[in-house]
Amino acid sequence: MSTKGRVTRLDHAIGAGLCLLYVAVLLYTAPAIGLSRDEGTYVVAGKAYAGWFEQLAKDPSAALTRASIDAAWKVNHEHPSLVKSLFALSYMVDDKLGIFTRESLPFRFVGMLSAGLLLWLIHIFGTRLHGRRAGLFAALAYALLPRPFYHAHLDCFDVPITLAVTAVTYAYFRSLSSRRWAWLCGACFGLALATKHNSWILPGIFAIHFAYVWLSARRAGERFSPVPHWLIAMVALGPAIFIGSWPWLWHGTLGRIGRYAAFHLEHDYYNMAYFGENHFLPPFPIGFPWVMTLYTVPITTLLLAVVGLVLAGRRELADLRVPGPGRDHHHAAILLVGCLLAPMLLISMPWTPIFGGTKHWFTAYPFMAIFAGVGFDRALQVWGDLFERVAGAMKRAFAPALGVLMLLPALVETAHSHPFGLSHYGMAAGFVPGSADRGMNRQFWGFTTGSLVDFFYEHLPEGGRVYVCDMTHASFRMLGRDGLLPLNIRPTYDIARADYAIVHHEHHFAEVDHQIWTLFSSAAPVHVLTYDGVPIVSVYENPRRRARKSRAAGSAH
Amino acid sequence: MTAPGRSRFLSALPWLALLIFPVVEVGAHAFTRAAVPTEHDWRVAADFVGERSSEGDLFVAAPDWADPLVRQYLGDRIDLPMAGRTGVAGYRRLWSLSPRGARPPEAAGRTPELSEDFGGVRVERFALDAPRVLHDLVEHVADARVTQIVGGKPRPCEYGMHGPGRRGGLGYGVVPPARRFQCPDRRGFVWVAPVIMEDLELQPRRCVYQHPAGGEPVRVTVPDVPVGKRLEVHAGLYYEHERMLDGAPVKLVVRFGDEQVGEMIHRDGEGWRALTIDTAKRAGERVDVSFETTSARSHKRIFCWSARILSAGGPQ
Repeated sequence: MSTKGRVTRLDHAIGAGLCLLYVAVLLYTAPAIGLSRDEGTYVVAGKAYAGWFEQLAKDPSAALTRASIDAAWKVNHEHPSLVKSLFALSYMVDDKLGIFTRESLPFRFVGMLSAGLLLWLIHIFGTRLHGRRAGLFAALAYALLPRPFYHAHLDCFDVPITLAVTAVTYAYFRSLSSRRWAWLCGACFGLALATKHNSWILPGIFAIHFAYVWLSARRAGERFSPVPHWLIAMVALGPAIFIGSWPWLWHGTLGRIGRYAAFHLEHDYYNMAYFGENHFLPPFPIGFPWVMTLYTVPITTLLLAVVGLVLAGRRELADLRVPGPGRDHHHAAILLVGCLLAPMLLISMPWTPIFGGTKHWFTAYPFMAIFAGVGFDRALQVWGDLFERVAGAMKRAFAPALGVLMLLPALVETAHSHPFGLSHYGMAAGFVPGSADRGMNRQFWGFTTGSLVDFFYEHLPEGGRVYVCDMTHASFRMLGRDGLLPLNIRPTYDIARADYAIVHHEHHFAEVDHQIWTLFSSAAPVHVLTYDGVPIVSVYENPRRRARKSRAAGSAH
Repeated sequence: MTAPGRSRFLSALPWLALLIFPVVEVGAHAFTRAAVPTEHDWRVAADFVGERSSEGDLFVAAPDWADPLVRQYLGDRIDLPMAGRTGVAGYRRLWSLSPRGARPPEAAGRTPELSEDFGGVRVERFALDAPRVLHDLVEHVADARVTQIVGGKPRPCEYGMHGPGRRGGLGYGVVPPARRFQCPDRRGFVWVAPVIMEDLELQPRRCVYQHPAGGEPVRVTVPDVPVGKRLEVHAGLYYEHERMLDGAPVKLVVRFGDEQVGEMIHRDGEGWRALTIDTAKRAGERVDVSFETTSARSHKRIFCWSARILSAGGPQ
């Protein structure tokens, strides 16, 4: 099945199928995941932007005044608006058509669709470079990464930016042989800029790759235009799309861009547990992205990616020594390695905040997945030679059977990671209990509160107040509006006045745990939510509520 | 096997090994999940411990991440002094409940006198030879006289129900319990009460909150304390105030009546620090014990101490 370099309609059909299937799975599994901290904020932003879009439709001149723009777009102005605008549009469409059954879904759907489209793109990119088998395996390998699977459910930017970065890279790669793609590259770059700041590093990666391709062509005596059309398009379209899609920048443009950049270049440091230590200030451990990748990506997938990397590296080295026939003139492997390593190297810098777990280098994973596809493709050839008779007997089932075998750990782990995605660890960490032994971060964003809805349903039949620790009130209320929790169960900031207080088990939340002990005069939780036996959330009952219950029970008797 | 056959086989070995990996990975995952204790395991283990435990027993989780589960299943057998203990003084026996067969650090070098497995939970009991606690001053602080010295004059801090203070949450620090000594200081943070505070290692400490108010002391005097062989004091600052390593030192002075018997100058980075005062010469007496806290800069100085009168030496 050598389809290397050719992408057919069938491949797009496969990609579209993957996309639809993945989105369906995400929609089905989403209700089990409570809204995380950031999601709640983006829902608020999305609604604010939706209000502005409605005003724009009704009264454009009023909407375009600085006062109107600032009123709506000031909300969460530390992040570009493209994805939040899509949240808003999705919300508005759902408001009109009533497509979704839960209020959070039109917001989350944007992230889910991004994840589905990303699989499609990975399949196409992988197929173009290494054939359909590699492309399909790569897409499936990415789909079955536990952490990205969790993030694919969310109304956040981490999956959309992964899609955007992969799209820009694909367009850049195609631009090396087509000027039309250079303009698409520029447009995609603009969309990536308007998605998240991870995109800032792309021109640097492409410039290094472009220089390498040019030098390599010169050395081989081949013709290659040194004019970087992709860069011209990026410069021409990137800022225009970035600013054009973000009304917040339409007034006071330079100052606001400066403040946006400064926010991320001087980002606050948050807490992150790593090997038993709570890191909150630089220098941060340089091994963080590498160890976390090792600990959270299924080992078999990782191993195949390493095999693919080694094979690609050997090919490039051989080409460096003697440029031979059949060589890759555009050195895709160099590009992919650059896109794989750059985000991880950036997070390795001791001054880069590490609070986001693995999500801050998700943009590396599609390229890791493509290398896994390369590794699988080569392994399949070797296995086919080794087990000629079996392969012959199995015929067309041989490759799918081995594909399933190699993806089985990823499938099992991803399925089991749900709905505790951020708490999941793989074999290298000793799975979840092993990661707890090692003192690794157990979660962030407070989303695991969503796994307590049954408890609150049972224990607060008459409603009540819950201190929700790391979960924002907006996110908690969404559990109610999504129909997962009665609306009379409300969040409170005040532990002493709560009926129940919860603590999310992260190292630094020991503080909240101890506040509850002090205020409730007890260290005994009434319920501990666990994942593979490891405590994730403790729930404490206010002794005043307990006393009320006892009195009520006594008077009933 | 012929030479080319052997060579082909050897070069194929890594590829064959690759085939084994998914099987190993899935198997290891299943094995790990199968070893997770069930709720039933925990309940049976907790019942077993409950039936055989007596006063003076200490209950711990091993590894320490299982602590919330042990507190849940043993309930109020783990009271606040035990949950926020320093060392093992005052306890006769140690019960360890472990979901992974680990041993707690308190059991290092000891042989269990009892060991039982309940599904995935191992229960072990160890004898302790810790010193006896004659008097835990933290648990008697409600009997104390608390004053804040302002302009050289002592102003009493009133004990009673003062209602909720800070509501709690990340960065809020130690929250005041409703029943506390509230000093007449407009800044609000000058109060005294037993609390649980996390130290620099994020460990819970049962201790007396006594924020310094500045250069003039806040004073807590616990009356009529029986003197033993030694007075063991521990003190430290709230995690977030100490971890930045930029706060002013806090001075803690300990007096028996008017006599200063000990002093600690706590600097950021020292964590939960010990001060042991040899009181053997006055053993058998009953004295008023005072604790005074001062600091050149009182900003972000949530300070907390624990103190126990111990009968004799022994491992902690």
